[in-house]
Amino acid sequence: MSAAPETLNRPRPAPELPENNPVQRLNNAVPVEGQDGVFSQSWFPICLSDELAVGQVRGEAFLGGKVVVYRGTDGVARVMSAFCPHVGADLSVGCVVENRLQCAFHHWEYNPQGACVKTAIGDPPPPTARLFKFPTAEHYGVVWAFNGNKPLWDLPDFDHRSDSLRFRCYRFPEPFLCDPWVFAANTPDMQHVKVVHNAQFSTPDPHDIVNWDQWGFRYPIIAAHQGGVPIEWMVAIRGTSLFWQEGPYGDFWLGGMVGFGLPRPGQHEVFAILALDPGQCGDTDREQTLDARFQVAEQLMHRTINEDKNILNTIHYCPGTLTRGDRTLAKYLQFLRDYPRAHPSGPFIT
Amino acid sequence: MTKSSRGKITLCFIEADGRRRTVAAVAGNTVMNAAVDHGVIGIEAICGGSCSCGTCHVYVDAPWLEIVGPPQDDELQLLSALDGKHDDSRLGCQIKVSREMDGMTLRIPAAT
Repeated sequence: MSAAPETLNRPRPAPELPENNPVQRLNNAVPVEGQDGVFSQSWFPICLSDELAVGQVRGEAFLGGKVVVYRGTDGVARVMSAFCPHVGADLSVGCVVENRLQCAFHHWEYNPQGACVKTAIGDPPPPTARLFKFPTAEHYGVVWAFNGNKPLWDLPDFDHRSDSLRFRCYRFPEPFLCDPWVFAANTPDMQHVKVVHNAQFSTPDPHDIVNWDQWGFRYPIIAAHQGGVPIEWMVAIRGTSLFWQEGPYGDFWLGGMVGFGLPRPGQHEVFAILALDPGQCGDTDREQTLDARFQVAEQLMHRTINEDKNILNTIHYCPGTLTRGDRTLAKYLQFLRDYPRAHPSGPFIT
Repeated sequence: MTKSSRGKITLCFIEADGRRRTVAAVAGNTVMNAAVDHGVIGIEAICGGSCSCGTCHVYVDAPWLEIVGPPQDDELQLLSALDGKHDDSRLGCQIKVSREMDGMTLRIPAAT
């Protein structure tokens, strides 16, 4: 490689010196997941319902360790610590027997509460042989586990009333390279909604009408989205790991719920749920209309997440110099600093 | 004099609607910290004290201006962009509380 000759022949200017370098990196930090050995106590998606047939067990990374999720013959999905207390075999290579989980190594069996109820050789099951059981819920086609012994809040339902909502669920193949709360912090970040997603707000920034409660917030966005599509969305965050939006997109109601899984510190896995109301799709060609709208919704979802992706995968989140327009973001970051953290399953999932 | 009374510093904030709030402050912390700790209305402190948001704007009562001292360049730059900036305007996050400020009165601007 060589520079162009005219560049080489030009007189060399003195190097430009910094005039006002910062001395201190400003950071009103938010604790990262796994810091001091604890994780936020939120509902996290584990797998899609469709990925877990009756009688199936799977292993999933969670909280920097490994859990199993299995579905017994009763149809209930349960999430437990992955390692057999006997000598530590991984139960994800075991199998499901009725509503029990059987370890591959010595055929010990665990009941739905995680208690060992059977050993193959006939020794009495030790009362101390217990798996860590996570509160587990199946909601809109996703299996969720709560980091704790008792959930602090319930998974939300869409406000839109319909007995017959249709859902499509997605698990993004690649993890995103930041904690779940970093993605969650996009929702209160109204500057980013305008700049990254190019939504033209029809109202002043709605900081004053953000509705906060102990476990999250919601607020309306009335805007012209890309292509001039009018939207009137309620957007919301629960805890550190669940985004939800609903309202008109153009001429139909669209619901979206996104869970941010926490396989390991510094990463999250995106699970997305789209919902439509078939009652709004006419009587003739209802299925075709639904399908066409799901395709529109899916494109919108992929477009939106792709707009965020490079930013999320490279950010070193460090709230240093927030400004007046960051009012709701600042409040959410304080919510995150104060959010309960624990790791009761810690000794059992690694 | 006991140790605790020796350390006690109070600041008086006058909120935009005229309500007086006399609050305890800690030497070495900032005026913004004292206001936030006691929920003084009108001090949002969005950036948490890094001189970037201008939401801890206060007017320092005349007798105290000399003790507080003049703003630094960064602070001045931010202040000059604020509506309602006066000669006695300061950012609460840039005033470090000292013993000499015991009893100081600060007024909060009306919301803009």
